[in-house]
Amino acid sequence: MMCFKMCSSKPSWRRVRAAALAVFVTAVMSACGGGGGGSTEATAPTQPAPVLLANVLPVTVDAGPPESGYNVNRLYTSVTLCRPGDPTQCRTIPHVLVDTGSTGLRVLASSLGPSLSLSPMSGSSGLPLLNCAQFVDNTFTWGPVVAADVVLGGKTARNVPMQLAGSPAFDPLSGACSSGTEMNTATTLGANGILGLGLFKEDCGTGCASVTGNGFYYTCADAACTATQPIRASLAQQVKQPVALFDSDNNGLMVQLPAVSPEGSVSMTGSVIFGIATQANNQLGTEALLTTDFLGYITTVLAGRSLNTSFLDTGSNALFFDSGSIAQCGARASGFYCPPGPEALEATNVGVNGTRVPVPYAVNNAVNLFSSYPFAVLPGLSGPIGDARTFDWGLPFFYGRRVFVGIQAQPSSLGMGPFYAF
Amino acid sequence: MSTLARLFGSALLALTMASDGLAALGQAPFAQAPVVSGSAAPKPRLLASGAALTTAAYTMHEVQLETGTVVREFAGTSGQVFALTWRGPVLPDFSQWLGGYFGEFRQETDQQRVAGRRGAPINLVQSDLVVRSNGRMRNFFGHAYVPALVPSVVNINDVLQDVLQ
Repeated sequence: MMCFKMCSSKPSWRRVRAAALAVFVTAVMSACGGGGGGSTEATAPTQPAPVLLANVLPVTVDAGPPESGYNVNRLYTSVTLCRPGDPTQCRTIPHVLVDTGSTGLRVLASSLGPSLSLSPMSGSSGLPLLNCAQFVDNTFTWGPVVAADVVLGGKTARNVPMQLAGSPAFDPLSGACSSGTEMNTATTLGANGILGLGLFKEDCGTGCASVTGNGFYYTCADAACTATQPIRASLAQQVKQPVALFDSDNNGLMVQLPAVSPEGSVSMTGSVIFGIATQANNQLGTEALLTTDFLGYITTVLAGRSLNTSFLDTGSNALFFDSGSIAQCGARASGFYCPPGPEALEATNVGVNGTRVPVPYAVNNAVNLFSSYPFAVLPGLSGPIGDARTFDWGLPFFYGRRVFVGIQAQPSSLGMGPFYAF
Repeated sequence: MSTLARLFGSALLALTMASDGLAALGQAPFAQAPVVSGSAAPKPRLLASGAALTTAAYTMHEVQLETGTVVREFAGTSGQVFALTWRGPVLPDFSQWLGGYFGEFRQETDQQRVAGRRGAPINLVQSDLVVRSNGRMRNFFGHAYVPALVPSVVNINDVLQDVLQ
């Protein structure tokens, strides 16, 4: 059975290693002992265990964790965390947001429960290293950097620096990070964590290794941690894209979601497949390769204009772009488009390498889409961005596609990341 | 981190805000705040207040934050800041830069998120405040302005065309 309940799981490394050789049964995720409290998520009905390859991570679009607000077009998965080197000390966290727009794993401390304790990593001061992750919608997550073995599907990344978000010991100091809204509960985050599977290996990069006041990394100013101070963090200390730390299938990933009818659906299931052209299941087919610039942007040509800071982002829950003609919704769906009926449009995505891919897409009336509640899959959900140079291709772009994300400086037969292919 | 940040990194000018009253929309430019040495105030730390550009209608000051983010503030002849633009690896501290408009900004952005717009760029267009915040982790950019404070001879879109690179 698949276990969606928050519970201890006990994957063994032998099982994980075996998976790398042949097929992998999702039983690794289901050895749930029922330990630990605090669960509010319902257990899924018992189903025959699907047989999956080791490099496949099942993902879903659904309404999110209980009591976490209105979640539509949000892509979730389960992540198993283990104490480094100890496969008996693990916990599976359901409903972690899959986000190709950020880098690194961030998990709510509250979702870990008391049964698994992960030790904070130290900064160069010897005191805990604290991580500030800002998101574009005036939200942020804040907490200590801890090391964990991270199990995604049948793959394990060992000793991954990740953020424990909303850790009570450090939360009073979150003002150092941002004056925005802290996402430290499932309600504010709409998830139990964020799995940042973006184009880069670290959340910050070389800037944080050389600049003290870098805005990403802090440490305690004293042993009791009554205050923080900025600190440099080496690349090794920074919060990491876990896929690049797998021992194989580590040069990127592919998001594969089914097509959905225009009116949407309650939920959908799909896969994130690790590696690019490393296995039979992650070869490039008809998809075209678009390299990005060093910041991860491509160009979208829309109505004759070249929007050169455009990107593909599973963490945005709609298509965000500016239209001179599509009506915006009123207060009932503020921030979205409300054409009288579905509107068919087309743009062209252009890579830095010059590859051009036409992208037909549809804009649907957001008020009508929202009235389909409890549908969580809403293709055609779109809104204005207010930026003359950007098309944010959020999750609806990914429906009915295979989208490859090539990680920075990781070689593949398609070349070196960062790139997209779709 | 920009080249500019590295350039200034060795010669850190520890400018700090003299008070919360400076540096915000609707107030005197941050770049003209008195220079305070030392590190008494934890933030925001400036590396330099750089280029200034003066036209007949407004003055633009560029401020380089230690994070590598560059903020430009546009003040009319009265000295009030009517617009800001920013670009860089982290967001500027909006509670400082938006000043008295921050409460409205936070309330509106929280409301949009609860209503279903998640992980999305900010496109806040109110009669008294416009804020557009875009980008992703490692690279953010955007602008804010107060329509009522934009000098009548200034076309705000021309000002905002001046995108930071």
